[in-house]
Order: sequence, then structure tokens, then C-alpha cells
Amino acid sequence: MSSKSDQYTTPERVKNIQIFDEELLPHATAIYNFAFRLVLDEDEAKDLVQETYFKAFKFIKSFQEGTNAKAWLYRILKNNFINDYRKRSKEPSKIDYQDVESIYNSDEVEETFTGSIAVYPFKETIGDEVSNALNALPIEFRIVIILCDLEEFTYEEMAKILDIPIGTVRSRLHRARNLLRKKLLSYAQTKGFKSEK
Amino acid sequence: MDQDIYSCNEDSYECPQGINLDDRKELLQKIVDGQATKDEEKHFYQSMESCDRCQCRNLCEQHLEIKSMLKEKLNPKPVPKGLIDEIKSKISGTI
Repeated sequence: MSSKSDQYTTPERVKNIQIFDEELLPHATAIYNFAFRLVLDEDEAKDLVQETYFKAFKFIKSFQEGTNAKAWLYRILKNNFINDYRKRSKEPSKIDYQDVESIYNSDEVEETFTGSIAVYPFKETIGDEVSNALNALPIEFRIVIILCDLEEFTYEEMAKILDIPIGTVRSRLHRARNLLRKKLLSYAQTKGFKSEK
Repeated sequence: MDQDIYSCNEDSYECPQGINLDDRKELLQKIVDGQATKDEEKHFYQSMESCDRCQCRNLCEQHLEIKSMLKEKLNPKPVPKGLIDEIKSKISGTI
């Protein structure tokens, strides 16, 4: 990338643009998909990605070359989304958190799958159902699932991105996966799967 | 404190291996994500074998299946055309 005027061609700026092009831009697809999974709208995801990259360039001095650029960008995007973007943009569509909690906390006796049939209800699940179930999770649960299961960050990286202790990452994942599991089981039941009681 | 659906994940339940509720949940996730140490894995599987109320195996299998479904069935979207060029152009020109 070349700068447009002499005023922008200081050696430091050239170096920064080089770092930006070589270390940050290659993560654009992952960053865009993370943004989309948060806002659930292509145009809003695009805006969020742009803001993330602009902010990353503005603070590029705080990025250490050779360190985990992807995690750094995810952290900026997450902060952008939580602190700025979400406030001035419409809330992403989601189910009521209280509803989720009441389902999750219910004392209802659950399916008693045994052995290898434990995963049977999920076998016919289609992509849209997986996507809808994920998108219906409250944002803090959706984020941990995306970071862990789609982006394969370690707990340590997730803790840094989210600014929470590692133990909280794991307990949040546990709750998130149980919520997702409940949602997917309910899809399975609508398709005729009957659990043993 | 989360209430879980399985008897062995109730707060009042005394795990034969002496693992408390929060630790059991965290350990389960470490197993699912392949981030448990060998000792932790051993501890987890011993706990399952010695507990006649333990449903951790089923929960573990289901969480593993969900993890694999997410990866397999949610295809990444391509970056919109022109987005990267737009970012590069703004970076090189004005910021």
C-alpha cells in the first residue's frame, strides 16, 4: 500500500501500514464473521469491521509485532461492540434473557440418554437450526461459543479478549453449551424425536 | 449458582472424587475442548466410573457433538466485495 501524499510517508507510518497489511488485514474474513455473528446484519457487520480496523490502526503502536494479531483484533472488535456500537445501533435480535434463564433453571426432569445414543437427537440437525440456536443465545453466551468453537481460541486467549478470568470463561461456556443443547433438543423434538423419560 | 439438569451436577451432590460443582463444570469443558491435562482427564474419567448417578459422560458427548456441529454446519461468510480496499484506502489516505 502506498500513501497518497508526502505528509503521510514518514518511515514510521510506512512501517505501520506494512504491519497493518501483513499482520492485521489477513484476519479480515474471521473478523467479519465474528462481527456478523454479533450484530446479525451484513451492513452493520461491515461497519463494525471498518471501525475495528480504524481503531486498530490508530493504536497500532500498542500492538507488538509477531504476537497474536487475531486475538488483538477480536478484543478491539468486542470492545467496540460492547462499548460503542451496541449503544448507538439497534440491539441484535435475541430472545429474552429471562426466558432463557427460566428454561435453563427449570427443575423439569430431562432426557435420560444413555451411552452412544446421547447424541442421537442432534444427528438430523440442519445448519439453519444450528445457526438459529446460536443466534438466539444472549450475547455473552454467544460470544464464548463463537470464540471457542468456531474460532478455536484457547481459554487463555478468550480470557484476554473478554477481560474475564479463565474460570469464568469455562463456567460461561458450560452455561452457553447447555442453553444451546436445550435449544437443539427442542428442534429435535419438533421433528419427532422423543426422549426417554 | 447454576442449577444443572443432572443429579450429579446438583450443588448438594457429593462427588465420589470430591470434585465440587463448579470444578466439575469447568473440568467438563476442559475435556470437551481438549484443554485438560492428563491428570485432569484421569480424574474426570475416574469420577464417571465411580459415580452411579454420573451423567457427565452423556453431557460430555452432547457438548462434543454440538461443538463439532457448529464447526461443520456454520459456514464462514465471505468478506463483502470492496471492504478491504475501502479500509486500505482510508488508512493510507486519512487516518
